[in-house]
Amino acid sequence: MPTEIIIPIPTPTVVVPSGMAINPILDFSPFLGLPIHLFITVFFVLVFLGVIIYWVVRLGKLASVRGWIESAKKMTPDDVQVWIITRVQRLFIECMTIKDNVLSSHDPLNIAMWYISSPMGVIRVGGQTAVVVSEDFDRNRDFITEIALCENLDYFNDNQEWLIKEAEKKYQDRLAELKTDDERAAVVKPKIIKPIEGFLSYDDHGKVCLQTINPDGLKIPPYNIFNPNRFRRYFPKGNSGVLFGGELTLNARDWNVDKKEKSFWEVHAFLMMAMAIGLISIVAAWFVPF
Amino acid sequence: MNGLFNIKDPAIGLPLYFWGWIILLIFSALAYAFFHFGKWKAYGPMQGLYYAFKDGSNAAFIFDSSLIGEFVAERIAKCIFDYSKWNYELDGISGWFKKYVFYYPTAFLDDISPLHALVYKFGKVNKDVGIARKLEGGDWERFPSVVCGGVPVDIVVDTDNWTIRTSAQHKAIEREALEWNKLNPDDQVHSYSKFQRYLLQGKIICPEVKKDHAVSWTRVNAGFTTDMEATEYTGKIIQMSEHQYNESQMAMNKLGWGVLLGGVGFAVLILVFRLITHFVH
Repeated sequence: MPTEIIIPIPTPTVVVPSGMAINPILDFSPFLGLPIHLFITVFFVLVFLGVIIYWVVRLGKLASVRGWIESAKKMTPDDVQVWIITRVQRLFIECMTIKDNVLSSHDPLNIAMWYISSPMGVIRVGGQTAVVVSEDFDRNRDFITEIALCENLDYFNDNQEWLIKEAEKKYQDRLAELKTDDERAAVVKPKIIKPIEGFLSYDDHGKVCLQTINPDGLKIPPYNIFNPNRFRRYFPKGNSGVLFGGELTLNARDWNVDKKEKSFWEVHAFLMMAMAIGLISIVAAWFVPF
Repeated sequence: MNGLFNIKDPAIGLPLYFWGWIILLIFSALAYAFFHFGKWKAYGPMQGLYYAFKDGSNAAFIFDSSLIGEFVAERIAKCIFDYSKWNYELDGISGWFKKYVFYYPTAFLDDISPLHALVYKFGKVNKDVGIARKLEGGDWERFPSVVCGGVPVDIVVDTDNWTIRTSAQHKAIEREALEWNKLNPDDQVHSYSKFQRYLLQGKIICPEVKKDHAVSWTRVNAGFTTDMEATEYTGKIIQMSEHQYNESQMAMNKLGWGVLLGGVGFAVLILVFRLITHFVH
């Protein structure tokens, strides 16, 4: 009977160098020969990158109103936040200089300027005040005024016959109430009512007509969706912000016509001194002995 | 990497990869806090633009009669009802499904696939504008005043606090609109515009809300002046003329400062270079 020979097989032992740690689960390498802890690390890196990408994308959506924050940060007493509505109805927020109620850009090449005629048109969003302007009108815009005028001018234009009869009737009733000719002569006959088609007719007779019909002010509904195109036809033709700024620039030039032109030395004195000091410094630095 | 990440720290004996996880977690939390509190919060009233973009709707600026405004998503500015607060009867479906899976716009809109509904549910996409528009029969007042960041933006002037959800006026409007909708299922009211139209026509009676707002002639005359006196902005012209008169001198002075600082800076560099070469030798 053959004898069994038992050869002891040495079991492999993992020798962990001193100063290192091996974890039976986290150092298990079931996939691509890479330990599990490496995959977990990659997961945490992705989480970190995910947080950054999420916020960058989210804040990127607010890029067009970044001017709102930037203007708030660098606001000085001469600065004002301006919401600009372009001719193609895009909205931008910028920080501009205000002097004597005139808004002008910080960029000297941008000559557009606007006059703040209505302090009641100043808007307040998030604790910051701002003025709304548009490229095709040289004054600041007041949504509530524009809504009021649109509502009432449309009503006025659509109800001409009725308004003429009504005004005439009121006039005749008033005359009938009075007893003497002197009193009757003092009563003002209502203005001739005809449609208000634009700025010229509003200036000519429209404002007076509206004031006669609504002496206490214009009424608007409590809830309004502002339609900027509705009021455009009442803007004075050609009075854009750029034209206004250009005219002011020319006027400012006229003020200087009589002034004596500055001499070469008045203009260049500081530059010459600076050049001399700079040159002396360089020469001194080159030749100073140690 | 020869077990580089398995090296134990000498303090408490944890492997390096463990510390790496902790550091990454802390950095993630710090980045989140930085963006949330440092950047996002600063936008405050402008955040409505983002929510409008997410909802695929317009955005809106709501201004009161003093022109104090807020930037909100279109649903806040136009929809009377918050449909997420309505009670939806779902036959045979348990509470957890309703809470975690059911996307309420699917009760009104039939063009949302189940997959989209899930994505919208977890992305918190609001479809209230679409719901209101459908329930009103497709009519929807929409003429965006401006475009901001690619999102059309309406400018709404609300002089009677209708759009403030906690106001007495809003609650009254909600009550009357609900009543109207019960009696007129084919001609429902879901937007403030339609509510106002019916209110002014006398179809709806709501004593809690105003029917008009008066704008004084002082305001109208200032807001739309027909003439402008040159004296009103002469100060600006004088300021500009002063600027023009001194412009060339100011430019030269600015250049002078540049030359001065550049010259002195260059001299210092020469000096430093000479000192180094001197002492190295």
